Amino acid sequence: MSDFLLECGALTRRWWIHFRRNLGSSIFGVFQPLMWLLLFGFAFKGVAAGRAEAFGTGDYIAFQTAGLLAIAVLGNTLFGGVPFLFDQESGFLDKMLVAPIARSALFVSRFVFVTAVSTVQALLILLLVALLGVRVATGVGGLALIVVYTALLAAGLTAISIAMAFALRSHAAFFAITGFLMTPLLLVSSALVPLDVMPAWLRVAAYLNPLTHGIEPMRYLVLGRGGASVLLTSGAALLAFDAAFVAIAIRTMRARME
Amino acid sequence: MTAAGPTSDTAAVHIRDLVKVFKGETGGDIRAVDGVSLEIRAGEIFGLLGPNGAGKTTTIRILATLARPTAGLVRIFGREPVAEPDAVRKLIGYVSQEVAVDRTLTGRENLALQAGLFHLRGEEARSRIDEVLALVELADRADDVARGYSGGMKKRLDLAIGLLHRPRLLLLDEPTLGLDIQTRRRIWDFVLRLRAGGTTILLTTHYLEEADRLCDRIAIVDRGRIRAEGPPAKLKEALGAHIVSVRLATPNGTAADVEAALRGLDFVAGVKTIGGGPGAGGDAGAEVAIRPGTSGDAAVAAVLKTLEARGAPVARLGYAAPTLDDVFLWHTGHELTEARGAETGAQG
Repeated sequence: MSDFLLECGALTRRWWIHFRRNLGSSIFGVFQPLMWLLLFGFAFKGVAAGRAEAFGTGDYIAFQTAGLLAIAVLGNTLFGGVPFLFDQESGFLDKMLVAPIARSALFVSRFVFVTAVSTVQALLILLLVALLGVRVATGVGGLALIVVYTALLAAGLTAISIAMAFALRSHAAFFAITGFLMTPLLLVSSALVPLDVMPAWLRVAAYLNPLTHGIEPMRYLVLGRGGASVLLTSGAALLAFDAAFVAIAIRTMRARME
Repeated sequence: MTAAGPTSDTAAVHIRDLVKVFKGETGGDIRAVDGVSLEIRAGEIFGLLGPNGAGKTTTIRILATLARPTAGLVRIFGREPVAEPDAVRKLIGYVSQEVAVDRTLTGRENLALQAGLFHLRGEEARSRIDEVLALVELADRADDVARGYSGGMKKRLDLAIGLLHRPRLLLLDEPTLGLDIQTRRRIWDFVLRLRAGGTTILLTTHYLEEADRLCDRIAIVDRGRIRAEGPPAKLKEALGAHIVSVRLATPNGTAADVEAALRGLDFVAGVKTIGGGPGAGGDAGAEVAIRPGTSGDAAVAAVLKTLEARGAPVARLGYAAPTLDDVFLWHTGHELTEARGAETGAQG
């Protein structure tokens, strides 16, 4: 095993042990996206009826499914840097920084862990909506691609969170900014409302939101309607987003030397 | 540029004219380290002795690749921390002042994490983990979550983590801060055993006893500068056979003519006055170093007489062989415990 894989493995194992030993709050986080299903899914259940043109389906819950997957990713990733905030406070971060590890291993371990949690959540959500009659239209291949887009969306968002944790160094500033980002990222996207029914300005803003580029391909994979080209265009947009923010995060971590 | 001396590549630590300036909270610059030069030999225990805020921790953090020097040269076994951080990280073990163990992990899991970060694999990792657990006497609690450990156990685990990759240089920042006497003795024991095994140790402390009993050589650090350096015994000897310390009843400083008069006594090796001018507050007085071969009683009587003749009433007078506290006082003009008290008072 290469040194890099050994580093990433040791760190990922640490996150997993934390998850296991704090099972109560971990489980709470896993089920958090379901709140949106309850609040919106059932309240707006009828809103898509007869508007399949805009929603791609007459069933709002089927429409919303891709949005729920993205919300799960958003919740996990935006707080993906939080362990480093606590490590900074306890002095444990220094212990990791004086080890001869690639700084990128810190990012990779969080990314792997957060993506794994998001994938489990995605499967739970898909299982639950299946009980409500929603089937992934593109089958097992589509399911595999959903995991790929989960990872693509998670990488850049995790990087943002880690960059903030290293740059801000304060819990108050970190949570103020993530709290501030959460709502617009969620609402200015196609998570709960289709792009077609948005006013033009909102649609432009939604296209600039990485969440939309995670949702649109996943929505295509769930509903099996619309153009498959979205897999490529949004995939490319996510790759560009990931490359930019992963680079920023690693730079921020390297600059950590006082 | 200072040309590197012939010893600088073989020395465990070579520091030349090190300066570290921080941006203060209010915009002003803080010179935490202000021109420090040091040479630490392989295999010795070297202590940085000084109050909080003296620049000890900053120096250690620069050596540990956690902070960047503003100016000056730093080498660890010939390697520069800024140029080759990963090479230096493999050579050093760093144990910070605050206990930095992952409390959610067991002792063994903490060590397994460290093994991964230092690229130790399989059987080698397992046997080293058992070895350091035995060394710090934690083997029987290794599989308990660290949250339940006592303060001393957490510190010992922290030391074990710092030792796992067998560093050639161990950096210990205040290794016994806030620990009870028993745990402190135990840690001194580990440190001495490590030196016997060939590890070089650089530690910071503001405990005089720790510096005195543990260190082969010490440097007295105050306000970012080294004020004196050498083996504790030599530093004490340099102050003379005995020290007469006097504190005056009036806290408005020792007049220059009193100092001159004391220096004029033929058995006096040196005089250090203490305390500021009028209104400075705190103790005022002098430390008077006595030449070897002088009768202590005669010296005390003569010092008393001299001071009273100059109208400087004596409040307290002590007479003893020099301690490290005297050495500190001699070189910095204030007592270590006073400086520390003021510092912790400001923090708390």
